Amino acid sequence: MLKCKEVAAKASDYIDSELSRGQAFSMALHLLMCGNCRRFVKYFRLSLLGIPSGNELSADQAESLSTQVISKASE
Amino acid sequence: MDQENFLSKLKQQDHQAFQQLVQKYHKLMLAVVRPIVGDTWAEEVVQEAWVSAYKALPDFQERSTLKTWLFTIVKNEAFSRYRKESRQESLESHLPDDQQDQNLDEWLQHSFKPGGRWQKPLQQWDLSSPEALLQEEQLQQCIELTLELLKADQKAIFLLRDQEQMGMKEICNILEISHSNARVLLHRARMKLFQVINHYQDTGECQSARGKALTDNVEM
Repeated sequence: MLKCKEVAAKASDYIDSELSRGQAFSMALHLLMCGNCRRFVKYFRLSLLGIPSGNELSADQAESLSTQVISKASE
Repeated sequence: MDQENFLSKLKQQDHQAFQQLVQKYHKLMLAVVRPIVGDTWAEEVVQEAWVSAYKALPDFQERSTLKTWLFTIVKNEAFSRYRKESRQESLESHLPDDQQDQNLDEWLQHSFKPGGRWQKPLQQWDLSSPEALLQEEQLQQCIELTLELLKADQKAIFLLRDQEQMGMKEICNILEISHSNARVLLHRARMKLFQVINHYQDTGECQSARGKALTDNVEM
C-alpha cells in the first residue's frame, strides 16, 4: 500500500503516465481511498495550468538583438 | 503568416521573420544553455548560436522541427564553449545554492507524519481554476519569481516540458541528461511551484525563494 508521502513523490510520473502498470494501479487505489491525496493531485495538476506564458522578448529587444545578429553574421 | 510561409521567409533570411524567431525563442534558448555554461556565458553563447542559425537557415532541411533544430544549434554552441573554457567541474557544481530547494525539503519534512500520512489535510484553494490563478496578479508575480529562481537545470526542463509541451525524449537529447535525472528535476521544479501556490492560497503571501528580502521585492 502506497503512503501519502510516496504519492507526493510520484505525482509527476502519475500525471505524465510514466508509472508502470503496477505502480499506476497502486496509485489509483490509494487515490480512491484517500481524499487528501486526491486533493493534492488535483491541485498539483492545477498549479501547472496557472503558469504565465511570458517567455518572449519584447518586440524592441528582439529587433535590436536580431539586427546585431544579422550584422555579425554578415561580417 | 502561416507556418509554411514563415519557414520559407526564414530560409530566405528575411529580417522580419528572423526577428520573430528571436523574439519567440531567445529566452528559452537562454534557459537551455544556463545549466551548461552558467549565467556568465549564457547571453554570449545564445548570440553566437543565433549567428550560426541565421547563416545556416538557407540550408535548413526540415528533417526536424525548427525548434529542435534551433535547440540543437544552441546546445552544441554551449557544449563547445563549455569545453573551450575547460571547466572541469560537473554541470551541477556551478549552480547557485537554492533556497527554494531548502524550502521544499522543509515543507516535505513537515507535511508528513513519520508513517508517511499527511500531517493535516491540505486547505481548500480559493483560486481553484486555471483562470483564477492566472488572474491573480500578486500570485502571478510570485510564480514568475519562483520560476526565475529555479535552479538552471530544473528551469530548463520545466520550461521545455510544461510551457513548451516538448516530449521528454527530445528534452533529454537537447540537454544531454538521462530520462531518470530529467524526471527528478522536473518533479522538483513542479513541487516548488505547487508549494509556493499552496502557501499563497493559505496565507496570501509569496514564499518564494531566497527568504524575506525577495519576498519584499514582490511588493505584496
